[in-house]
Amino acid sequence: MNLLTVNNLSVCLEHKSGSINILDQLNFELEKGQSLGIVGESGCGKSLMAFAVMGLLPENMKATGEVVFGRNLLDLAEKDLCQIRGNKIGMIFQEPMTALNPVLSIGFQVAESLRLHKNLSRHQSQQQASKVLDRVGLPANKFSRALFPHQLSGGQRQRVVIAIAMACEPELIIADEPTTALDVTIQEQILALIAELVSEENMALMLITHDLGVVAENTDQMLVMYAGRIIEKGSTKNVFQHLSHPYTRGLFASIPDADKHDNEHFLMSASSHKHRLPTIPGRVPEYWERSTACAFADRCPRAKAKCSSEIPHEILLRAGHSTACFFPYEEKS
Amino acid sequence: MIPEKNTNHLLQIRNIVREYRLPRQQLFGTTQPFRALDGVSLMVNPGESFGIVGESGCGKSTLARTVMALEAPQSGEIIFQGQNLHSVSTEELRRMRHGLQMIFQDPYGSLDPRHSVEQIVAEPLSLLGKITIEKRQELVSTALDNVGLSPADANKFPHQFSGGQRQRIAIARALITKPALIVADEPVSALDVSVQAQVLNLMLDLREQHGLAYLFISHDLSIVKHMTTKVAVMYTGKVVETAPTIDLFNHAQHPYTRALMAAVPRPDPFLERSDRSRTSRSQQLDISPDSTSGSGCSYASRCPFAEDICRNENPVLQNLQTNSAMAASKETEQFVHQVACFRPLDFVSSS
Repeated sequence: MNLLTVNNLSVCLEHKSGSINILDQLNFELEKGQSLGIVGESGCGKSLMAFAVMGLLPENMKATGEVVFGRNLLDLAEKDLCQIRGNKIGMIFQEPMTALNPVLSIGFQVAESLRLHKNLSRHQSQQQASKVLDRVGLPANKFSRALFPHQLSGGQRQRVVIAIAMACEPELIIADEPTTALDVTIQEQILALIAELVSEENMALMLITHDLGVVAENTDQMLVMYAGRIIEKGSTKNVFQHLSHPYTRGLFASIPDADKHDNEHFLMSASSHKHRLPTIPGRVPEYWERSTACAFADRCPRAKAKCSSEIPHEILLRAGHSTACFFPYEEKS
Repeated sequence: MIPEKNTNHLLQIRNIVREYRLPRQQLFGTTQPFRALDGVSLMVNPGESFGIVGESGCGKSTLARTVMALEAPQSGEIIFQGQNLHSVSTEELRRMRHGLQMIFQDPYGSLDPRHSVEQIVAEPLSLLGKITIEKRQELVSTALDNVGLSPADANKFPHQFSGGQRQRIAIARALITKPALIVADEPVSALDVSVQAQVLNLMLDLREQHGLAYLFISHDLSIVKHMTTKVAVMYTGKVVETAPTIDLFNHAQHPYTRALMAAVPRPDPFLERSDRSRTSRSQQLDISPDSTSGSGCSYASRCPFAEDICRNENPVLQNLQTNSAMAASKETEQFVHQVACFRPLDFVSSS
């Protein structure tokens, strides 16, 4: 039984001159206790997808399709959605400074959702909030519940944001670039903390990031998005092993790898220009430039005539691994 | 350790200290000093790419600003092309700025939205004194050509470009005075992965073509590894380890450098995540140690190997190996692996 099923989710932007699809026919599922990574570059629609699932789209956008989380969330009235947001689905935002209210104490901010969703009294909710803050590594003896966000470091603030998301013991956590604003050492702690809490509570995790390393280390399933479409999805191991879509492969090749120990290679990079990073030429098309073709066709080394006239549909490559490409790489990477 | 004065180096940073005053805690309280840079020394040769790595708040950007003579250090010298940047006259400094340019992190914030690309790229030319319009246009189109933009782009405005192209404009602006050194403060961290590689390649090519030296500041170890030949790792305003890039990545000695490297997520789902378990929620929650207190290694409170000596004495940068060959060639410009730690991880320092 899937916890979350997304069927043909499209988001279109209403505009004077007509409407444009920003997200196009997304399909995926997420089971209880699983973690799903969503990778893509800025503007590919990762965050928008999360907002569409939570029903937090801006006024001028409209979602169609189905988001089944017990019920179809897209059909629910705002009042009913409020019962689910923060209660059944928790969200961790990217910028801990903007996600927290600077004039409220951290204890109050964590207690807020408990009071709202669990009908606890002020006193009970504060006790419960204090426990949650203990769990995210902010013990009461060192971190008073009366502290304000500006008195904490970036990593500590992100722990408070996690505490708020976890407070009501949701079934699904959506983490939108939870560590992008943080240093690598702090990133490691925060990701370890999220993984720990998620596995203890048997929650499902949707982890949105642009960092392939973060996805590789923290998720079971992943999907790669490009220009508002899912272009590759499957188990994280399968996707990394095969890198079937040319975009996924290009993205992977263009990260300089700190692990490469081949010194010969390295010396060349130091002394001459021979060792260049493989790049993907061109840039991501803006959403108003997208046409009825494969959005990656212009930048793709394997593109043929068919690619610039038809939208490729998802094809199953092997059990639990599919891609939307007419000419995927067959051989392993 | 203060390096010998030597005019062969393009840039010599000698023991600089930069202090800021923290805001007062009480209305009539005194202000506390905060050392953003605490005795940093390093040297960059012509045509060399020198990397600075560290977490936010370690003083990387302060270092960049002091090297650019945007801020004066409280003590220490910055010698660029044989002259101390902070003791020359304003006139002289303006002239020296030819050789010294900077690329900023955020290509959205560093380009004036009301200026055309030509105005932006030509701005450093004001240092050259009066030049003719034809000359100016010629220089602008060469600079744009160098970074892979078309000279026709000169009349456009920044909002018409993508992030990667904007960073190219910023690079063109830095190139136009034909500098010897470019200080690049996180030049690609605001860019997408696929565009990041294009800009990095461009920077490598330009170094090749123009014999540029880079002071390359980044928090991303894999990029520093790709781009530089020498690296310094900074922590709370001090250089804790410095080495040729290849040595640093193969045999990091300082526990902090190791921790930094281990924390980088690897894009390989088949790697065991065992070393992950050691960072649990209870670890490392102390608010970072203040670098103002005089005694002890500032990393001691986070260091898993810390001993008494680490908490009481201040480690200084020391050569890792002084074998006979190296000792004999002490006069030469040998750049060796140095680490500021009492218990470096692999070798024991034979001082």
